Amino acid sequence: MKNTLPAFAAFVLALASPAAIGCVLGAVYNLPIPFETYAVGATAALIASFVVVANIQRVPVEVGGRVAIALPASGRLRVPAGVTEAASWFSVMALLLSICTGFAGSVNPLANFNMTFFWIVFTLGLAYLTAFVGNVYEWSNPWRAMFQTVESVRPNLFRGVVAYPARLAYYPALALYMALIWIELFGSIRPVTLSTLLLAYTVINLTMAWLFGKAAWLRHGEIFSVFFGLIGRIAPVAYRDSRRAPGEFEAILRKPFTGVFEGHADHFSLLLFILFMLSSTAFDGAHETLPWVGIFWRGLYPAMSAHLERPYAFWVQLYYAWQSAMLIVSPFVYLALYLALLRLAKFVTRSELTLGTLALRFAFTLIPIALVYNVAHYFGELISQGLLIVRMVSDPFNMGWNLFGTARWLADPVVLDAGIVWHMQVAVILVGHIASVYLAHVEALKVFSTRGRAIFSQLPMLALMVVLTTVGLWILSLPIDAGETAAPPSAMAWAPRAV
Amino acid sequence: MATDIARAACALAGFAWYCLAPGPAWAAQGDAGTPPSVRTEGGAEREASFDIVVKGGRLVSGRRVLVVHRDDDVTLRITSDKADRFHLHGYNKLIDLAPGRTATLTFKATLTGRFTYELHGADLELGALEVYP
Repeated sequence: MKNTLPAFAAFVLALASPAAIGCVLGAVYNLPIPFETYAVGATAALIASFVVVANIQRVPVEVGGRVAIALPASGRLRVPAGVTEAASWFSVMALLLSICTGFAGSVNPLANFNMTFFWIVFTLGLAYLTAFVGNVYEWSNPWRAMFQTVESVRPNLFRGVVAYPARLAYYPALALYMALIWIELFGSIRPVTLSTLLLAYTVINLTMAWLFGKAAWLRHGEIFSVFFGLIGRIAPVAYRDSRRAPGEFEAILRKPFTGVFEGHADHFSLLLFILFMLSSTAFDGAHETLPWVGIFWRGLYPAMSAHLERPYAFWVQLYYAWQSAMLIVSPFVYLALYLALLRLAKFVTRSELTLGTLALRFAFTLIPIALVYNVAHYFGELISQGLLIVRMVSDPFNMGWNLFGTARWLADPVVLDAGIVWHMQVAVILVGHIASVYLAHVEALKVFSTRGRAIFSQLPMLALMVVLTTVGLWILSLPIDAGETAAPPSAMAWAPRAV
Repeated sequence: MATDIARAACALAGFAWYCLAPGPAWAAQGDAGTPPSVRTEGGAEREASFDIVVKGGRLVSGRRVLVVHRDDDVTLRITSDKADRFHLHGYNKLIDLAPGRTATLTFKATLTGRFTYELHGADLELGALEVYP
């Protein structure tokens, strides 16, 4: 493990030119939201927070120290083995198609099936779907399907050669997730690079599952299992292996968001993973805005270049190094804020739990805010670029095919009206904010047992959520830079050539 | 519990109203941008025209982010010292550029949002057109 990650990072670095910037596939961006929209949104968040805290003073219907999570008429639905197998085959096929189209399809990132399918449909679309229908990825994970297929020929191949080292915890998934986001923001990757990376990631998964066992690797190392697993916690459906027949799952209905109370984050690295979900989206939103770009070019650059004689290209390289470093630092900024306010809550309530324990117990309450940050930033891309998958499936290799008769659909990109986009951005951020405030409040009522203390403890947690929400809205309101200050001439690797 | 849910529902309904209500004045403009260079006051339709000049692989005309409003008549006058092809995303406007000759692109800003524009030949992202509601 120790040797693999740096090697993977070096491999990624070697593939990707450092001189690139910009969202994957982002030709049409959202407009910054007007100051008034931001101000109204932030005020609404504050008021909603107080409404929640003032009105809920008991843990809702507590049963034996646990929040009742099953719906009154809770049912268990069977997900037959046929369904999970079909879904697994479908996702393996989609993975293979994504790899093949990168090598053989269009070189234009905006037109190739694999870029839109992986970056938009899979990492955005499936994440949003998971929040509603539960973690379907659990039983349709293509790499899990590969392990099972291989094991049907070579039984017990993925039982694990060595025990998974406990101190590694979720750090492999976190490191791979950081690499993924770095590639998304700075990798300037092309369809062929994406295919290479997907192949490399498949090799990593197979190797690690062989080494540590498939269950341990899927739980701690496979990015998307951890990512969708976290988002699935707020869904009204959970899936469990039925243990009656191989491949059969059952769906358990529960109240939305209450999955957060089924257990706690079991390691600090999982908290960091959640914070990185938050901070990477915030960073993506901020890193091309005028105020942020100005910190380097108007603040650091004049000061440094006055003392150091270097060609302009050197400063551009340094700028990208600075941007990459800030991406990696970003979750620790959120961590510092989170721990500081929890420390305050601990002080106010005189809780005997350690700060570390508290940090893990509240970790899952951040998931709704992390998700809505993501939705607010990217759903425009899901609409304008993601819908194009409809035409791409008919001609995935760009050979003039029309397999499903949809190859000529959506000739013009769907561009949502900016007013609608602004309202939806503020709306989803507020929904996530209210959910997170509610969850943190209930958790506080459970953790800080006496009521009076819990109310006090709410103020720091409330402050945390309001800060997170306001920062999220504020970033959406910042004017965005364009052109060559951020990107030198060679950086527009994304320019489509034949649109 | 039931009253808690009822109260939470009231709060949600309040902000749902806020979200779904037709955009009031505050949604209209904001101070995120500067007004376009030319504008005829009074009428609903305004004009906005911009010069975009590229020399030696760099944008030499000032502003990179061009701000207009919906239904403005936009004129882009593009000059490059090399033959190239200008592309405005979203509106999907393409125009060929001859060296030193100014090409003019005129259209009505019907789509709102942020649309980048670039030179295909030089592979150069120049800036963005922001169309506010």
